[in-house]
Amino acid sequence: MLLIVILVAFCGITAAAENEEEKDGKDEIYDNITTLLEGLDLSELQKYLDENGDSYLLNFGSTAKDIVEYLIEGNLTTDYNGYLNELFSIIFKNVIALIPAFAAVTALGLLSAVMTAAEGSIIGKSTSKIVHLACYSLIILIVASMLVKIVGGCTECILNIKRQIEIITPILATLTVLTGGTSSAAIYQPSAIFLSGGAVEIVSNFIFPATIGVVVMNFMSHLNSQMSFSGVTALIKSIMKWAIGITVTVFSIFITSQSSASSLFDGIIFKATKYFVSNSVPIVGNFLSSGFDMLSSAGLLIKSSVGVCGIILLLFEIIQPIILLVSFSIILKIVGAIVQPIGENSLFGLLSDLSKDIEYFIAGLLTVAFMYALVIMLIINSANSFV
Amino acid sequence: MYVFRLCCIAIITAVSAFILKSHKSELVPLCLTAGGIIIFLYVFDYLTQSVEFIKKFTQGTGIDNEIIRTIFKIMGIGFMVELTASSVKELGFDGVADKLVLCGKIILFVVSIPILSSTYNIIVSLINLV
Repeated sequence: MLLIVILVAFCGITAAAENEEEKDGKDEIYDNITTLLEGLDLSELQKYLDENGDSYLLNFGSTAKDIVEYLIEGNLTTDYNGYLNELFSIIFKNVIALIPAFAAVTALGLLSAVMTAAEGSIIGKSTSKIVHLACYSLIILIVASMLVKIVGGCTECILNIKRQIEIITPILATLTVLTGGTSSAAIYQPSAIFLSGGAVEIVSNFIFPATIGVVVMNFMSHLNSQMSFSGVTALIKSIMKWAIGITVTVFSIFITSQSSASSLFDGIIFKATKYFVSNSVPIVGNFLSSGFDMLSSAGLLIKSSVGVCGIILLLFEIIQPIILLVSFSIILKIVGAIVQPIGENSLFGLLSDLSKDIEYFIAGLLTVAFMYALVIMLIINSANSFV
Repeated sequence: MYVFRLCCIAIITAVSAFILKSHKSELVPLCLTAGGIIIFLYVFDYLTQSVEFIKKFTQGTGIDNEIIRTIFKIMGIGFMVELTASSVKELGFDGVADKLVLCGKIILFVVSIPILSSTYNIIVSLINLV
């Protein structure tokens, strides 16, 4: 009986000691996180959040530090209602606003079809041509005025992503160095410079202007059937496809291969340093080595949290123009499908060509977003394996 | 109801022209012209509702309503000139009809200029975006 009491008491004491140890470990990590966060320069992120008061990140806290702390605690729940509300607000605010203009385009298409039907019997061919020219000009005017707003939004989105890269990547690189990823940081910083300086410039200074050029040439081709730019537009589209493909492939291969190599190297260096500290420093060597682990773990948690902040900022930046462009493209196809059976083949060609051209804006935006997300994901995952 | 009236007017015009053909054939072109004018007046009255419909939808795009009115003006001018020219031709004055069509085209071109200039401006602003 006495033996059982002693055993139960011993187990209780051991469990309490383990709980105490766990609590101490948690407290130590939180202390390390607080110390690191106080020293971390989040002023640029804070400035960005102040300038974008409607950012979704502000649902997690009022300051950059609060948001990072909130995400460290794993509070990013799957709030599907919140995401769906955000999605519906974009759809109802912007996409629904496109529909009346497209209704007007359809009505003008019908009027143009009436004119085509009267051609030859009631109205002469030359008069019909002038009226068609006026109708198509008005249709192009309506569609182009919507396109100006959408492309303006896309250009602004690209500039915002560029700014986000310039804000988030230095913080992540600093935290990578802190967690022992010295050579990884040396790779990510130049790749971020390539991303913000090179890829963003390729998209904003080549893909977007070239797509606008293709759109304008298509407008001209459909306004005057004798003027055809199909060869030039096909050439430009082909160059754009190659440019996007090469940029994405080269960047992805470069960064993934380099990061895996550097991650391995960093892991070996990290383990060697730990071994050196625990074995070469007398008495407190093991204690110092564990402290090193604690500090790195705190750094990793902060790094993941800042990375998640970057991903959320990117998602909510890109979702609006992408939804708008996709909706615009689909609505163009629908209107084209309505006007084609009533005999407006030329208008159908104009709308379907424009719908295909719009896809290059989507491709450009997705290229930049993919490359940026890849950098963030690789930085978040670097150094995770060796702590 | 509109279509029914329209069809009635067309049948009455045709029957009147047929009767006149055997008694006073010189009045047939006049009868046909009058019938044609009445038919088109009916259609234009119907078209004004469409103008309001398109105007309402284009308000959100920021395009001037005047331009929407212009497109209907262009269509109206086109139909009027061509119909009048064909009526004049039926009366046997081909020269006058040709001159009318030519003048109509000039007017159409002049009326189309605001639309063409707006299209040009919007394309320029699209190019200026990047």
